[in-house]
Amino acid sequence: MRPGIPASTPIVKGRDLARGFSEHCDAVVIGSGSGGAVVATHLAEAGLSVIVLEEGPYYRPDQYGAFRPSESLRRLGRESGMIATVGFGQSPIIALMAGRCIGGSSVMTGGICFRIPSAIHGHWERDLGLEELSERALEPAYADVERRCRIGPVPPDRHSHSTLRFLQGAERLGIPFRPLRRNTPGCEGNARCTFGCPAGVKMSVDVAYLPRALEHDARVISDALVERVLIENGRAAGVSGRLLGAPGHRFEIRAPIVVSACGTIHTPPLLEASGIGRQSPDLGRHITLHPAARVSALFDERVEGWNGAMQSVYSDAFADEGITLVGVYSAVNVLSAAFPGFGPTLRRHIETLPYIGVFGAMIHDEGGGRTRRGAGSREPFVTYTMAPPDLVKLRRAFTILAEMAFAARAREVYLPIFGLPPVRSMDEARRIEHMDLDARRIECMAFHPLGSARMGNDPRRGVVDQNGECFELPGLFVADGSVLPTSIGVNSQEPVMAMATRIAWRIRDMAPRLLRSSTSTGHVRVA
Amino acid sequence: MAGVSHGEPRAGTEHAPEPRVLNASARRIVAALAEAMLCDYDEEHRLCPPRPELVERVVLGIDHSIGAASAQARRSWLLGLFLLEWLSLVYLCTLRRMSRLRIGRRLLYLERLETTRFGLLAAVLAGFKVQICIVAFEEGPELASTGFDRPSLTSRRQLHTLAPEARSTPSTAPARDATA
Repeated sequence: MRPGIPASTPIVKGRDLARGFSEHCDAVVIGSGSGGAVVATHLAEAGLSVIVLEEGPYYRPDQYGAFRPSESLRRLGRESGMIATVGFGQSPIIALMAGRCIGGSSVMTGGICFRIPSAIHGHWERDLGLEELSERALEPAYADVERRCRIGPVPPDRHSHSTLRFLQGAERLGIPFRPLRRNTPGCEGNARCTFGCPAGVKMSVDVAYLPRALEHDARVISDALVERVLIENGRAAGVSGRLLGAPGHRFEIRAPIVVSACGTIHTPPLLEASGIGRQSPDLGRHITLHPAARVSALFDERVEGWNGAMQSVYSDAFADEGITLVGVYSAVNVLSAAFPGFGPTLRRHIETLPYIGVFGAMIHDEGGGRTRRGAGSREPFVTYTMAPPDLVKLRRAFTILAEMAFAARAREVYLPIFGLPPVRSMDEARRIEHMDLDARRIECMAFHPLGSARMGNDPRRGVVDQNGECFELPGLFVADGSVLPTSIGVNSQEPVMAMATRIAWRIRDMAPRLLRSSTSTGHVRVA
Repeated sequence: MAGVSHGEPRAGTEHAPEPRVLNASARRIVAALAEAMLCDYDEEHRLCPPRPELVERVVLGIDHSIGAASAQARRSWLLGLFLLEWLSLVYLCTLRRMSRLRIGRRLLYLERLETTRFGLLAAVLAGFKVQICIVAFEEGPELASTGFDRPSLTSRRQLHTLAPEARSTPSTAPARDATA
């Protein structure tokens, strides 16, 4: 291993490097997604020398915007988009979508941006004693994220006919809806946000943040898998790992500030691999997912749901039941798999796609997930046991969506249960809600894993303090979805970014002390 | 950044290479699954398998997907393939494994497995169904069969440019667009 990162471009493709490297800097950030990119940008803007390490590959927005969906899943998604939680008892097997590329999952989201609901902030402040996570305390961080990502409501002329159909039904039932706020200014309504925006208008963090970090001399390295956090004299002292796609090439970066932002699923295994977390019995546990499902409906008129914003409206009318309704669509090849049957039966269903509307729901879950280091693999093993009340909520959500569809004069409704023929009446839908059913036959997905290294006031109640610093290892910060103390019931992109912003500001304020206390390199520079 | 030396990287590739990991046996099972999932009636209402090039494309796509995943995921998918190959003995009470069945029998087997009361098995089958459909209906005649009216799934929606007077008129109705 030689010193220095050899590179000819601002974002270095680790797999193309001819050799490993060793380097030092003020702050090393693990992960380039909604947490890592945000922290790195703020620290670089504050004058710290920053290196960002991303396990996944690097593609420019114009490249991934031209990927076919299967290609996006393979090149940008973790495990080719095939992660599934293993459930015990009456738990659905949940497909978990996460990004693994420069920009992380923000490249693969629908762009929805919610602030954390006031009630959740109140719970954290009042019941958990986390006064620094109050709505008021996070307001400047939210405002900063919203400004950089140009977040705004989806205009009505971007609603797809799929969404409008369900809205008609909701109106007849008296269910109020509101426009979603997204980070997609200039959205054309191509309805394939989750596979990379072909118009390049989604302000994912590789677009909204990392260019600013690079302007301030941050270095970003793709294909760089961090295997452990280095510890010296009881403090974080850097990281070491290997370059993927370049066998035998290892790297070591020494830094007095280490930020783990590799996500809820991957932060705990990294900490465990580094010998951190023995004092924190909650590390890797109690993960919430916001399990979600979608219902499709066949209408008599053409809907062509692919023309319009993929997601544009939501309703919290059922928030007291723990259900959020969200408009959704997907690419037609993905939707084709949601129909029952095979062969000619499947093909006849698929031919009706222009007449199919889709709508979704997610639930505010109790948190039965756990992530563990995988045996002989770089990927962790994720389990999720759904609490019985959450399963009731999920099945109740299907009935609500079916009712909206029938109220909009749908002819048939496809519930997300493997092999179930379409239902033709509300009586049938209600019967299915209560029928005896193996929960593993429910088609369920999740996009918001949270809470595996929770923030708390002391090591018995959390893994990190309210600054995001690990109780067990000074100098190690966590800035991703894993620090959120509970489920939030809404899409997590903006909350994760706001929390990361706040943590970055704290690190910036603490930097003089952190850099002085560094014993790792003698490379001491106060920002 | 201080201390960074600039050296020459290796000759880079625009896209990371996509490894293939399925052996001949696994590829045969995936092909048999794809044939049954995507078969259709011909003009005389007889079941016929899909075009060989479609099956080949699906097998290659699945191979690349599994190849891009971790060793743990690869093992899980290979276990799933093994189950789907041999559960025909149970669900059809036959001595032939799935890939050796005639296409009509294979179709019957998949239909029985999809509606089994053992949700785990239905979920395993659904996992392959999703992967196969994503690749199969992504381009060519299969994409056209979905009614999707742009040249490809990467094509951008073509919007009408509104006249200035129309632009100033607020409307709640969605813009009706012309597709390419």
